[in-house]
Amino acid sequence: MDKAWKIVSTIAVIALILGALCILAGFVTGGDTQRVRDIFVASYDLENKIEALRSALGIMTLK
Amino acid sequence: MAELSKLLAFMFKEDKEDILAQYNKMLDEADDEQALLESFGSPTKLAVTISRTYKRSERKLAVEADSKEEKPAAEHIIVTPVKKEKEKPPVTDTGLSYADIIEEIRREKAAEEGVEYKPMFYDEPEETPAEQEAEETPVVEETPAEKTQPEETETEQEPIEEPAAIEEEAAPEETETESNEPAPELEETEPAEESLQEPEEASEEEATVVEEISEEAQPEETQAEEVPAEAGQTEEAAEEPAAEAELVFEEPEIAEVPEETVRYKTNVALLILYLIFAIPIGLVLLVLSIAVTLALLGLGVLVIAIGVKVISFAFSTLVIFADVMLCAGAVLIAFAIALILLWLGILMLVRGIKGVVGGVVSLGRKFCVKEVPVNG
Repeated sequence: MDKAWKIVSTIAVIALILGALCILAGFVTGGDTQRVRDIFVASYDLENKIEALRSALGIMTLK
Repeated sequence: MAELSKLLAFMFKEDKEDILAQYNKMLDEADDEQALLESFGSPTKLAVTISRTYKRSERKLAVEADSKEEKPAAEHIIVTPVKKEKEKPPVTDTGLSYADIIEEIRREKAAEEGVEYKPMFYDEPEETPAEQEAEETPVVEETPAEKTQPEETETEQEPIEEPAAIEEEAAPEETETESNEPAPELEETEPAEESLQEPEEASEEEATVVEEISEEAQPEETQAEEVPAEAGQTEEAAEEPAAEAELVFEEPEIAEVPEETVRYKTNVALLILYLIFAIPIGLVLLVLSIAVTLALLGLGVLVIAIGVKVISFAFSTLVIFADVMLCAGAVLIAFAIALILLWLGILMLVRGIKGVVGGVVSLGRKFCVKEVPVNG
């Protein structure tokens, strides 16, 4: 059990370090989180889905 | 002689040359050279006999002492120049008498030259009766400390020196008769006696002495062989009480097996009451632990699913490499967190449920079961 925990924790730490390095490299090379968010919302049409959800919740509150 | 010279390589060169010269002298003076050679036996046997009696360590000490002139001469016997008849070399079957012959010749040579005689060999076989030495002592000049010593040879002393403690216990009479008198003293008495007697009688008596020595040498050797055997017996005899003592101490340890003086008594009424409360509470705790476990596992799986979705979106939709790197970094961090969540879920599944069940059981045993002494 302890050995498995050591392996899991090692993998997790390595993944965290690599993720942090990737994010750092993305920011260094001109990455922008707002642009990524806009592309994500636009691609999955999240704007209309959120609006429909809000309207549904408003109808439910009115009832 | 050449073969004997090779076999005596362990000796000091001076001693070896001396011995070889003496043997050559004996052969030259012998009437029947072939008979004398046959009496010597093979060169190997002769070399073994010489090596057994050669006192190399003391010889070395003597050489060092002579070089430094520090060693007192008290240990050595000063031989007065005694003119004696030419002795006939005794021919015996035992190899031990050869050393006597050599010592005699060296002693004679030392006496003729008027120098101090130093023994070269252990004098194993030479042991004369006390009465004989008492008669011979007036001729020989001895150190005062050595005069009253009883007669025993070093042959008997030196093999016994190692098991001395055992021998003192096993055979105190023998140790009482032992002495520190050096063996050459005994040998010197023989030529001195010979000088007082007629040559024929001297030669005959010496021959008989040598024969007696050869006869006595065998019991001594057997006695020396018996001493280690006795020592082994005494050791075994000493070990037997020790083994018995160990057994005596081991048996109580075996007998000290703790008896069951306590028995467990269950309070049935209390057990029923406990079960009434413990089962619902245990079930709730079990459900909670399972719920936490499932939540952790579900959260981990969800995070992994989101990560996979995000990384697929990043590589399929995003065209800027910096944005892809940002998404990849976020996904890696999400995977790390998901991995930890999954591990915690597995840990909760294994230890949480097991801990709840085990805790309920141990708590019920603690409340409902009591230890009651058997005698009480």
